[in-house]
Amino acid sequence: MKITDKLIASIDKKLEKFDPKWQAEHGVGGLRTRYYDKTGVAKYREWRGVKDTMTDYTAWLNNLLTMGGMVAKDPVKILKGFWEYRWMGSFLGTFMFIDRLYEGYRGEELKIAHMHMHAIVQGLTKKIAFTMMNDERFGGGKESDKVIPMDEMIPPLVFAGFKGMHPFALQTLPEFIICDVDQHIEPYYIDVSESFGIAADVCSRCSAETGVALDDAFPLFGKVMMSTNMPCNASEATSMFQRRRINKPDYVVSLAMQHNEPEAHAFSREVIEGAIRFVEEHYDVKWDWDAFWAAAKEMNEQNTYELEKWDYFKTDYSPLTGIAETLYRLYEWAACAGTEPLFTKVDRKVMKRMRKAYEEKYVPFGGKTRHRAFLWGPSAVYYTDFPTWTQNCWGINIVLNMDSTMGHNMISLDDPDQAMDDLTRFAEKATMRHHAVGGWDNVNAIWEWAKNFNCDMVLMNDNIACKGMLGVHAVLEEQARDLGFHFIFIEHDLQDSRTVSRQDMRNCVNNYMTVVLGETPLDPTLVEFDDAAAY
Amino acid sequence: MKDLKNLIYFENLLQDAQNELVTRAVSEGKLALGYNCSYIPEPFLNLPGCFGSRLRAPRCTSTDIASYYMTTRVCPYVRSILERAIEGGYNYLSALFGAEACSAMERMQEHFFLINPVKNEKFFVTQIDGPMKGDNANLTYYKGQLKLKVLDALKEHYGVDTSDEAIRQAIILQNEVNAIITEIGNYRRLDNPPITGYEFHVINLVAQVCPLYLIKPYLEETLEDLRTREPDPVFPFRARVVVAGSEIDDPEFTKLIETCGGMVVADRYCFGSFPGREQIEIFPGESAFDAVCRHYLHWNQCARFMDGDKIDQRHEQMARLVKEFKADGIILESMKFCEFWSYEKVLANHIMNNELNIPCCTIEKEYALGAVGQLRTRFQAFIESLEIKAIQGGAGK
Repeated sequence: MKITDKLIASIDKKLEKFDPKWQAEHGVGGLRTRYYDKTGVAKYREWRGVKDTMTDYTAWLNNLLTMGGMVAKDPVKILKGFWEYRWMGSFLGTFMFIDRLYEGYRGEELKIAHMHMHAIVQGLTKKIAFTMMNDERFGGGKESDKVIPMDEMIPPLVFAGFKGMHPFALQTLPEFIICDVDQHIEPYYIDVSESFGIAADVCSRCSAETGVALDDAFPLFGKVMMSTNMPCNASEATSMFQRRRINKPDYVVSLAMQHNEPEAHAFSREVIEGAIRFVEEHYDVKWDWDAFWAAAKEMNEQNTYELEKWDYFKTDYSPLTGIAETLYRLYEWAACAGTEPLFTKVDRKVMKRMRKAYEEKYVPFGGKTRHRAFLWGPSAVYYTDFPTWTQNCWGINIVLNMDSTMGHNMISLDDPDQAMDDLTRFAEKATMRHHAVGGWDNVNAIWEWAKNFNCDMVLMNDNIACKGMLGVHAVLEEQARDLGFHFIFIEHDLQDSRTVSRQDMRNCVNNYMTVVLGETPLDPTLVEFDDAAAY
Repeated sequence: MKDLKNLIYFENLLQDAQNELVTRAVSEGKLALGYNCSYIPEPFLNLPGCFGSRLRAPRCTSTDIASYYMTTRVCPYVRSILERAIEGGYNYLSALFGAEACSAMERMQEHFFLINPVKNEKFFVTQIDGPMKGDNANLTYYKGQLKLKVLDALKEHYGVDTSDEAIRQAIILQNEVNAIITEIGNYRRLDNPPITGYEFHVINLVAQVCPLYLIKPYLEETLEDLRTREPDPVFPFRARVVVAGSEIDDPEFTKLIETCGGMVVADRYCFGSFPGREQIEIFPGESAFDAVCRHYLHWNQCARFMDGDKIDQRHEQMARLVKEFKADGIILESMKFCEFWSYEKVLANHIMNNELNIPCCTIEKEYALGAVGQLRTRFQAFIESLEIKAIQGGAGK
């Protein structure tokens, strides 16, 4: 052991009483102790030991620097963005958001989590700056006419063959990722939608999208609107409002719902080819296979790593788990899909760490994991750090999330015909719809996935307004019983934290763990606390 | 008005899914083919040796078991259908042809093979992936789905004749019934119609749930009856309304509106006659199969269609019905938990009210009409407002 290591170990030993995990083990506090009641405001940063605190704080500074860089790109327009869009203000909660995501993380899992998060911050700040600099509401910019506005359920790779153009998922900033950051922002848009007459029992995410449209809170640019039938009914229905409000020529990328059936692909391919022709006509641009293949090559490499990661997820030695895995995969796939080479670079670095961790039999979370769980069904966007909580409170390690299983097929890099087929299959398996819709087999796949990933538990996201998943409630529960899985329904309302609070969600797990399994929590301060006022 | 001769008989036929005519057809060896959604073309279910029967769950008062399977937070229509299936109410069925029209419907139909509620050894279920746009690509896909999951499935399971000639014969029968229903329905265009909206609703429903070849003579007789039927001396209603919405298969709902003073002159909803009763044409050189698919895709006005043309078609159709049937307003209905109609109802309400100046009333309802006090109040207020508008010179004038 080096002398510096000895010194650090000595300091860590002296200061261990400030470590909330140590406190929880010794019954003198825990991870929730440092917070003001009801809020997400901490009295002080989490002490994780010298090295991990430095890792965490350096990541914090890096993210701050990146966000500063974003503002510096065009301070006036960024400021106008805060003035124009209610959702912009919520991005100020990003630091708190990141802090709560990785609470209790140490060692390799912390390093990898921050590598992932920094990539997201870099990607996202770039998008925000780009949006403000080209939004027609602020006078537009030189790239305004080169933007292809599209529904966020369409992977940007579909339009990657248009060199110099920017496929841009409209909902990402005002509706999706911001709800991850701030649980209080989407209820405003949901109220706008419900004030207009939309029923309160529709999917809150789609209701929020409708509210954003009605509130004129979507950024405006580009010459068209590419909507889609993905992933589900309410999403299809909200598109009607978005096309009217955005009021640009629109094309519906209506892929086959029953996308696992062989005859579906030819149809879906025709729809995608129609979308490409539509863009060509309206922008007077030509599809460029080389540009497409450049992005597809990135995506293939990312998917290759993803598949390798899955092999590690099946073991007890993966330092990448829970939300650190999910959020990154979601952003990398849905928001970029090969169009952002930065993510390939991050993947390469992360893979090296994961391989090393496996070789060294590194056990994450100090070996406190008691259950390996597969998270199935669409997750609550307003409680992104739920997997972190399950690990910290009950030792439930969510090894993979349903959404991470989306399009992982390789795309041909030299045969246009095969490439278009591959792209179709890739797009058909988009976020949420891959397993949540399209027939019973897709939902029923959970047991195979859970078994393959050596899980003993399935956490079933029970979006109280998701008609598709509600419709299979009892059959899934009966199957879980027959197959011997611990099975917990996690009730939530996707983007409306008022209906089912984070504590209500936690109670679903608390009740099962105490009543059914008779277990005691790893950190009693996390069992019941009020964070209703937190970001 | 003098009572229609067959009305009570028709009303009785609607009291059970397996009614007298369904039982007679099954006992004659016919295959009973169930369906829930207008994505499934009726002529394909009326091929030789078969008859189509649109599934209802009349007199369903509790959905306890279905709610166990699907929770209480999904559409009460689909829960009622599942409940009725579990009760054994559809044991006469030989097959169910489903459509992934909405998630709730899809999940309900999946239970027909997951928990096997229909006690018929040869019973099977298929589900088509219904198109969401009206273009050629979607038509091709629709054809492929219908061929694979309806015609080929029927041929494979039961050896049903699915030839072009058989489809042509089914189209002829369908067109005959459609012509009768349309002629009956057209009486509602008159200033003082010799038929009520309730009566028409009953007539149109029996034509969907009973074997066509058995119900047709009764429909013809009813049409004859109507030709000579004298209306009341004075139009007995205070206003005329179009009803648009989702699954409305309970004529009592229409009766409720009419008891509040609004005659339902046009029915633009699932189980209604708009669309659904248009003549199926076979163009020169076209196969009967292609004609049916084209016809059903063109006329389908499901709220799940997403492309601009189909969305506009839905609203144009509503406006056209108001004009042609001299309606004073529209009642826009959605079933509780119906996502498509929740959105469509709001959008249509906005367009009709604000852009076309057609008064609308939007309501949400359960499948089974239980406590109707709130609905009655809404209808009474709406009809009163229509009356006031009429006194003041008409909304659009």
